[in-house]
Amino acid sequence: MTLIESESLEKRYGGGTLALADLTVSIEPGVVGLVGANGAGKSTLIKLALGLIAPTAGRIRVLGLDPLTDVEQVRSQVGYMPEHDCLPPDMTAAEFVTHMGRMSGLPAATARERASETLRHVGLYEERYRAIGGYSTGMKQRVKLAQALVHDPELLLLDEPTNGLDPEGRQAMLGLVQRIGTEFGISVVVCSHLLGEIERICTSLVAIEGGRLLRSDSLSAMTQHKGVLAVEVDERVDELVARLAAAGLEVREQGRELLVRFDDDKTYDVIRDAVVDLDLSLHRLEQRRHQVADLFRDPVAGSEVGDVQHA
Amino acid sequence: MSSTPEGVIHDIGYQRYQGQRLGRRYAMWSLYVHSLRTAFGLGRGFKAKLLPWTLTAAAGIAGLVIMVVGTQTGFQLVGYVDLVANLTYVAIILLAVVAPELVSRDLGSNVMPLYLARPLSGTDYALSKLAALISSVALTLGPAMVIMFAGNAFATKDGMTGVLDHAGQFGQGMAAVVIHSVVLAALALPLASLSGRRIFASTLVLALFLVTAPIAEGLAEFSDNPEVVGMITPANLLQGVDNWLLEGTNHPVGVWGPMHGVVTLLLTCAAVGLLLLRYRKVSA
Amino acid sequence: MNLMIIRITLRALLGRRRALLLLPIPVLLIGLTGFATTTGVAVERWAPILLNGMGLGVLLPLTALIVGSSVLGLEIEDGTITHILTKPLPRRDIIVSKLLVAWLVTTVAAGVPLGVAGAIADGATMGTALFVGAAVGALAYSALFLALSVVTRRPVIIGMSYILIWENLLGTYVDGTKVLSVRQFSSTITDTIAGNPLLQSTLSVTTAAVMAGVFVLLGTVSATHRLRSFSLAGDTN
Repeated sequence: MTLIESESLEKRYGGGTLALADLTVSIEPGVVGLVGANGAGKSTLIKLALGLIAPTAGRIRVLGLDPLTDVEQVRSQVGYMPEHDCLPPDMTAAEFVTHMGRMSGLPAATARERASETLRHVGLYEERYRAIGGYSTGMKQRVKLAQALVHDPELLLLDEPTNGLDPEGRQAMLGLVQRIGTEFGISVVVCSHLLGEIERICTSLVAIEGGRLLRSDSLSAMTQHKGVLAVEVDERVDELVARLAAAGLEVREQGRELLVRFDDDKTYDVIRDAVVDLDLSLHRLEQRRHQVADLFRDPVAGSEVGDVQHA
Repeated sequence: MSSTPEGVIHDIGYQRYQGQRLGRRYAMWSLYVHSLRTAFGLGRGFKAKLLPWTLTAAAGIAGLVIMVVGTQTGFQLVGYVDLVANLTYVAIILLAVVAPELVSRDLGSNVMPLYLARPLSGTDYALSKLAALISSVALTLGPAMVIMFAGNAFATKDGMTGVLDHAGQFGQGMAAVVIHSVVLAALALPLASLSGRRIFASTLVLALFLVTAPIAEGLAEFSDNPEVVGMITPANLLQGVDNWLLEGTNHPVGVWGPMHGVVTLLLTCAAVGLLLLRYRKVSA
Repeated sequence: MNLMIIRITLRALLGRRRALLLLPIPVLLIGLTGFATTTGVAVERWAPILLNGMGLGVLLPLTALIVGSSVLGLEIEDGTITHILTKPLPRRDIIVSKLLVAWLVTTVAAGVPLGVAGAIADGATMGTALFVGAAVGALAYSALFLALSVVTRRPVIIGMSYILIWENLLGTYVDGTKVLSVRQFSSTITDTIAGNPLLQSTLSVTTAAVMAGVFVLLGTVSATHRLRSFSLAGDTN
């Protein structure tokens, strides 16, 4: 079942700010990265999905339900981990997550059990009996994740889960998210503006810019096409460029490297032949994997592009 | 794709939950119980219990003293209903402390989005909190009534008639407790919800009750109808309602009784309405 | 005394929208006083109620409570007190600076309106008398509440109980408590300066002045002492 599905979704705030415009997207199960710069509209989409705000136009469906009319049902199947600080300092993690579990409809004893288990799954052991006020940022992020998981949702909405974490903490959190998506069998939508991290754990991507959809595709699809070869030689670069261009390849210089658009294996041969003919020393010839960041700019032309990229 | 984080173990694997999921009502009930426990400091260490329990004890002692004096000397210092009115001070202190604990903490720690992402709505949240606050006041004042009744019932020399007579008064007293609890809590909670800092919320609640008293007094000097002017004070308002609806009070308001009742009702409804409005607009 | 702390505290206190909370009651007081003078009812009948009851009994203590307990209390509550404590400032300087700010703000927010109301009610002498009385009361209250905010965890509750129970409830019925009631200090000083017992105070002026001084001294000393041994265990309420 599609996780989140929207059709011409629009959200215009009271002051006239257009947070989302004409967003039509269909998010399939898996670990989905919702990427975009700060203010691109990711949080707004999440709030619309939770039924916290209403769209000004268009419609949105979560797990096949309308978040405004089927509020209870949607929210009982969705877990939300906000970006900002949202934990009470004077409760223990165990108490808090138990309480949140009950708020989500779990009977008392079950709530306690699941809270305990969930906290263990996210990596909080003895600490969970201490007051949250004394936790490190990493521990607090884990508590936030635990309260989103405690009622066993079908879908997790994580807003910048690695916020404020050090590199090790970020790795741990990303690993956790990936495990949730793969081993626990729960679909996850991860909001982030850190493209590199997203690339590592997501199976598909939805890129939003300025409130509009930039691209929505599975990660493999997006990183397969448009490969780029980086070629590095240490002299007579211009001759090489001319030679490659003459052979019909698209070449661009970037610093000490030449970026060559790479369509099939023949490109390798052309480059090799050119280098040999010119008697150059080849320092590097490697394939640049298409990065998510490239969605936001054309990798060979090198300029920022705002339109939808064509494969 | 990414490295497995160290130290994160799961022994039996993640269990999916197939059991029952209770709905909004249950969530509201859970929140109510949780809030009530917070109000009386249960599960939170000694200091949190100090004030509410002391206040309850103080009220109870007042009831005890009156009961003892009454049964030993036959002279009843204060009636059941009047005692509730006199205990308004106690109720105010309780409200000034508990109301912020119930709502200001949640607002200040930004935990509202977590609540709102759950099956209960903002107004459900507000109603549960209000119910908990009302119950807190009632639980603080109620025991005083019970003590008075129990003592008097045991010591009565009129047998069954005496007991029934006191039972009637006890009923009136409990009715007063309910009315006072509802009205005072309804007034205090929206005020407390204006601030995420307990210090300010407490002072707001306190200010409401404190400021109105001298104003009422002052205006009474200028007006021909002191009872009407007195309605500015919640305490006087409630005394008026008590006098109108119940028996056994010493502050007659005569013909103004119904007006007290109507004003109280309108005021309470307005306050609750404002509370719900405020929480309807709280978003993530 | 430290200018930096004074400046920061002032800005924190007054820079927010919530500073507007300090407005309604003074406005109400002045308005009611003005209204009262137009009714032709004798001053002696309503002055005690409005000026003493509402002014010295509600406006002054509540303002002092908010200001006095938040001037240092908020920083303690959310842990940002560490910023000041890690600077090489004598603890006494910190306390005195905070006290000064609390006193200043309270006097302006409550003392000035009281002075104005007094002037409206009974002429300039009364106005000045009330202002001075309120200023003294403000100092004593501020010291008390500041100390409470450092020494205890719940300064507002205790402060509130002091105002409600000790000053208002007991103070009306039990004469002995008046010696320890800041409100009585204020009203006594006011009446003395004004030369007429409008506010129906009962203490002697010397007692009032001395006790007010005691409050200030004790408050400052205990707050300083407690601040010195402040541990920042990160524990919460």
